[in-house]
Order: sequence, then structure tokens, then C-alpha cells
Amino acid sequence: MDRPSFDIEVLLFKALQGSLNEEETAWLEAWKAQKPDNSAFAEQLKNPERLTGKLRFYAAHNQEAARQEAIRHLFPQRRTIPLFRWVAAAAVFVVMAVGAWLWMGRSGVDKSGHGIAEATGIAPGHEGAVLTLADGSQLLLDTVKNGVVALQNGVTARIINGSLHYEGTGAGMAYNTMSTPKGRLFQLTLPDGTQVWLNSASAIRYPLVFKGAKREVSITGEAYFEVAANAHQPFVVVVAGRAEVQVLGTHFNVNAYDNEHQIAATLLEGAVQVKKLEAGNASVILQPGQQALLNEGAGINLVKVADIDKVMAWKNGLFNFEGASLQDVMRQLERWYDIEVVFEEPMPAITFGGKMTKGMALNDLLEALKGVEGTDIQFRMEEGRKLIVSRRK
Amino acid sequence: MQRGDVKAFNQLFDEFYAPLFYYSRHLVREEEEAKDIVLSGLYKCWERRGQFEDYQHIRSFLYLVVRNEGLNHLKKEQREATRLHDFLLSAELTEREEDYLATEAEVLKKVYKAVENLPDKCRRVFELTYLEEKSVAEIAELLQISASNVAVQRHRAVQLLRLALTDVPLALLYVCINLMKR
Repeated sequence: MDRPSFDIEVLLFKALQGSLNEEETAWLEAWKAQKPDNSAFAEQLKNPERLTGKLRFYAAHNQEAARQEAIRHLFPQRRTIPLFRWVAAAAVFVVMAVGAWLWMGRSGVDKSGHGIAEATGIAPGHEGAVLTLADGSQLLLDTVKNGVVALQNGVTARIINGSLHYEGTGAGMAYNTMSTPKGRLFQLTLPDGTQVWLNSASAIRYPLVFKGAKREVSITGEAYFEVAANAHQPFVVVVAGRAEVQVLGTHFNVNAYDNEHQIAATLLEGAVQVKKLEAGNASVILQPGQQALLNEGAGINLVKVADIDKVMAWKNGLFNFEGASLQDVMRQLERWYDIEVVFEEPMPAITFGGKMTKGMALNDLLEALKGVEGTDIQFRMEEGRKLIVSRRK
Repeated sequence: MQRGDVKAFNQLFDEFYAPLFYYSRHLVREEEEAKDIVLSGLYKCWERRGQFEDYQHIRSFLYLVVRNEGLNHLKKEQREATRLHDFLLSAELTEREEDYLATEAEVLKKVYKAVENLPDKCRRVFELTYLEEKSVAEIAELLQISASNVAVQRHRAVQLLRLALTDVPLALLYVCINLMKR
């Protein structure tokens, strides 16, 4: 005790220990004398058998379960702290392999410079990208916040507040590729004023100048576009070489990760036509709020009411896991945290709900996952930024 | 506690859950109900966390809320009518200032904290002895230590806690001696 306290409970405790000083003793005696009930209470507390019994009763609390319940209850309501809801299904899924993905002409991931993963602190992704110029040279855009990036063929690329803008008209036809590795997000403005947001592990290839009948770009991964209006020059996005989205001037999102089983193009504003570049060239025209889903082989699925919130979550700095499976969630975490997820054994089918901010450290996120009742999933980190997912035995 | 994050809540929880649960268990007996009442109190406290002036304020609030909810629960259950009556009589809960049960919970909290601060092995032995009422032999088996070590740890615990607890060591020392004789 740093300062004297005359709370009864403090005095009573000290009395049990026999560590009362004179002043305290006097105080306690005075309290006891105030009324017979006080005195009786103090006495019965001192009784060794009763004290032991009470202590036993006290210790019989299932504190941790209550704690988890409380945290689940309080923190999903709070926007800043994430939590998952799980719905367990009966079936058991076979392990899903972790795939590599292809960038424009590049294969594999450049993991150099990422270092060894530690048990604590895999930081969330952040802004930054790699710009590959027409001559093949590469530029890491992380560290450049503002300034001129490249000067090619009369075209200037300028970084303003962390996003890339192209200016000027030039001669010749040169292409640049902007790619984001895992754990990075980037925004750039194309020479025509179209704004593009690239999610992690994505790439966009585009000409420095939009000449010709169409403005054509190619993407892999996931990107959100706000296309500058130009009726004379339709904007075409070639998606992972398998589909084409033709637009006039609109806002839309394309999700085309190699290790997701389908391509999804979602329209927010304007109008687009989505066409398959294979097997029959099926095509569909989207209205705002609609989504086209393209699978291997089959035609195009039209979703009339897309979950825009979920589609755009990544751009708004959130994960949205509504209806996602454990594998879906892990794939998203892989891209954002730049980790490799390995499933040690078949996992039960689980459907998630909920949203989460992308700004948390991986460890905190996994803690939240572990804390959910009725689940037996375990995580551990291994060297090389590997996350091993297994079941609690 | 002004920060609205999990860590702050955990601190609140660590400080108050156990004694409040003790308190509420005396009111409602059913563990599940008791837990719900305490959690409900903690939630209410958390909602108002900007409004508390100090620790005492928080503590008074919590016990008050738990008490009210406990009594409400008892009143709702018709079959608890007699228990409510008994409780009011026996728990000396006549006026707010005389909430002996709350005081008792707080004293026990201090005792338990003192137990938690014991060195690991010593604490384990203490818990197994007083809380789980295991014999020396059982404890020795569980922790893979000798019977005399158990006795030593017990003695140490009592010394460190300086609490007047049931005088078990003496009786068990006797048993130990007998065991060792065989």
C-alpha cells in the first residue's frame, strides 16, 4: 500500500494476515464496535475453516469462458475491433492447395527482403507497388511519396500523395506494368484520367498513351476502376486473358485472382459489357449493382443484386467475410499479410460472417479467431512467413 | 478504461469478474444465471465507462447493478420466494451500506490475488491442497514431486500468504512421516 487506506475490505484482509498497524487496528476495532453485525462478520471471516470454504467457492469460477463470451458480445458492435461469427456445417472439406499466381508474364512471388516471420508482428499490408517500365526496369514505389517517377517518350509519371499519375502525350507505343506484391495496395491514374485501385497481388498493364479505337488495359488479381468518360474511345479491360470488360465511363470492380475459382466483375455506376474470351464468347451487359461471375467452361452467371459492400471492402480498408469459407478467408489473409497458409489436415466446413479492418497485425486477428466458442482451429507461424492451420486435439 | 479497446476491457474483467461472480452466486445459485448477471453488469459499466470518476465509483456501481439484477431475478422466479426471504434475512443485506457479501467478495479477491502471486509450484500445491482438497500423496503424484516437498510448499504458501487457514500442514506432516516409514 502506498498510502493508508481505510476501506474495510483492506483492513479485514490485513487482519487475516496479521499485518495491521496501530492506527488500522484501532480503526477496525471502532468499526466492529459500531454494531454487532460488523463484529460478527469480521469474526466469521477469520474462522479458518469458513475462510477455506469461502475461498474454495470463490475459486470455482469459469472465468475464461465468461471472458470470451463478454468479448464476443462487446466487440463486434464496435467498428474498430473485428470478430467472426462461425456457422459449422456437417461436411468435411479436403485440403485446399495454396496456389501461386501469375502476374503479367512473371511467375512466382519474389519473397526476397521479407525476412523471417516472428511469432509476433506480421504487420498488415500497406500502400506500395512495383512499376515496371517499358524497358523492363523496375521501380519500387513504396518509398516515393511525391515526385516525378519516370520520364519516357515525352510522358511524365508523377507521384502525388502516394498515387501515380500519368501526364502528357508522347510518341511511340510503350507499356508499363504496375504490380502489387502480396501485402500491398496501390492507386494510380492512367494517362486518360481513369483511376485504378489495385489490391494485393495484382497487376495492370497499360500503354503510356491511349491511342487507337479503344483504350485497352490488362489486369490480373483485383482492381477497381473509375473510368474517365470518353464515348469515342471505349475502355476495355482484359481480365487474366480470359475475359473482357468493355465500358464507356463507369465505376466497376474486377476480381480475377488466379487461385480464386471464378472471375467476378461488379458494376457500381454506368454500364459495361462483360465478355468471355473463350469457349463461345458468352457475354452479358451489367446494370449498376450487378455482378458477372465467370467460371471455367460454363457461361456467365449474372448476379442481380451483388453485395457491393463486400466487393468494395478491400478498397475501403476492410475485410468483408460474409458467407466466406475458411479457405476464402485464408486466401485473403495470404494476399494481405504476405504469408503462405498451409492446412495441416482437413478442416471442417465453416462459414464466416463479419467484417474486419485490414489494419491489424496478423497475430491479433488470429487471436480473435481462436477465441470463438465451438471451434477447434489452431494457428501457428513458422519460418518463411508460413501460417499453419490445424485442429486442436 | 477510457480507451474502448479489448485490453482495457480485459483489465476491468480481471479486476471484477471473480468477486462479482462470487457475489452473484450467493444470490442466484445457478451458475449460468450468475454469470449472465455479472456479464450484464460489466456490459453496463462498459457502456458508461467515460462517466466513472474513480475505482470506488466503478466498484460501487458494479456491485449495485449485480445486486439489483440478482434480486430481480429472484423476484421473478415464483419458486424462489422462500429463498429471497431467507437471503434477505441471512445475508444481512438490509441496507446498501451494509453489503457484507460485497465486502466479503472483495476480501476474498485480495486473498486470491495473494495466492496467484505465489511462486508457481507453491501456488499449485496450495490450490490442490485447499481448493481441490487433494491429499499429499495425490499431489505428489500429480506434480511429480516428493511428499516432503509437498509439505514444504504448503508450509511456504501459508507463510507467504500469512493467512490463518485450516491447520492442515500439521496433520499431513504426520501422514507424510507415516508414508515415508513404509
